[in-house]
Amino acid sequence: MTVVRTIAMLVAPAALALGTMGPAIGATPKAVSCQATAPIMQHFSTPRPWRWLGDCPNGRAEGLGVLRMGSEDELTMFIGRMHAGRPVAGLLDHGLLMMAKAFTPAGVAIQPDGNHPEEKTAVFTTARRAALATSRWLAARGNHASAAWYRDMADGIRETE
Amino acid sequence: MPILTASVGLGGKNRGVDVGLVQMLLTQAGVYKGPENMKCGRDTMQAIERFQHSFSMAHPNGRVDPHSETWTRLQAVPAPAKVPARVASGTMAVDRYAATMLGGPMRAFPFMANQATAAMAAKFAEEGDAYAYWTGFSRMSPPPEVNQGLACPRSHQMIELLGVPKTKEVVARLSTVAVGPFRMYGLTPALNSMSTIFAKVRTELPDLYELIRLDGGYNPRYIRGSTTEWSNHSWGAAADLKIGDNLVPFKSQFSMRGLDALVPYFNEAGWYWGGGYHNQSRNDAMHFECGLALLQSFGL
Repeated sequence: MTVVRTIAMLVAPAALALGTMGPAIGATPKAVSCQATAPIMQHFSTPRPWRWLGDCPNGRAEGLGVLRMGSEDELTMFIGRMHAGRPVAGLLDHGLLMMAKAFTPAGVAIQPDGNHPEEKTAVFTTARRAALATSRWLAARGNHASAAWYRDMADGIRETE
Repeated sequence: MPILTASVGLGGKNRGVDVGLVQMLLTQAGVYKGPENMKCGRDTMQAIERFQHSFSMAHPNGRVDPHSETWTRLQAVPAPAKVPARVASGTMAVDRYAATMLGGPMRAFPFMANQATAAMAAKFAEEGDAYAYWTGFSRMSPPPEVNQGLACPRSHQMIELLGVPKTKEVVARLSTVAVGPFRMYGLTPALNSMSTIFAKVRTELPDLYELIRLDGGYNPRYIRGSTTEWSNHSWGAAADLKIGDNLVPFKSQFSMRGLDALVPYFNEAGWYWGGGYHNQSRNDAMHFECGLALLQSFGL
């Protein structure tokens, strides 16, 4: 099971949010505050810092995107959908993959039922769309190298399902 | 000079006499403190890995194969070998973990996070943690015995034996069975075979048994990339397994220890492992399917 911890974090500027994955381009925009509730896996730590690569209306993570937790040396990602700052569904990538078809009100991830393949398909579809959305989000901010990386991620998700 | 007749350890053949011999030598090497009971559980597998780390083996795999360097070194141990220091958290330790366990930085997919995380290195060091051990990465290096004597049935063979997917003929043979760690909807005799497999796993590797989950069973669909070849999931004759809710993605060049440990049990019962496909570009470590001979034995 995964449990959820709410944090207030900064949405890092796109140019800085990606570590070694893309060059910094242009001036560094000001960071804005964005609230998100991040899944935490029971058997793993959730490394800092946390960055939401997606829209943040009303100060809360919203829609399709990627929540990056940690740095390149220790990276966990939630690739999926958020609503009002809370995770809705997606993939957890901590080196291996975990799926969450939904989250309980308490924030515990619900696994797809192996006897219902459409549930796993839905999770992977959400994750693929989230990767593509993140790619577009980054491209709109001028970070084309990282945008390409997330497009590749989307292709990888499609091949893996 | 003692003789090892078959592989011992993670995913090994694990014949009792061989296991006992290896346990004795591991004890002499100072890396094994468990009972010399001729049963290969997690303690023995971890001890093999510790021994392999002690001589800086390039890719420790928790397995002793006959004629392997590990076997040669085990026989030659003159005194208890040093137990390697626990891998601590931190970037340098993480790099060493990656270098030894994975052969260097590995990105099987664009989206895979860096697998050599400090959290994982710490897990490896926690030898008492069954979850950490069984969900740990393993390099895709199956022993020679994997899938030996087994044939992977092709789509046309499945149609001849069981009928065309999605038809009443196929669906009539499906049922839901509690196979042990989970319930599964699939081909009834295949599920009965799986029940027998898991009963054995429960006895011999109980802490692994508790972590086995079903990722996918019956699913009438084509093989990825094909529009003519049906997947064996289409007849309910295949299962994709998770360990502790963790997936190993299709086409990965790595596996998980928990999956590796299950392979000999499935092979013995006539099931084919997807991590041993001849086409290595289609590695599928989660995937287990009824072999052709097993399917024929169902008499359907």
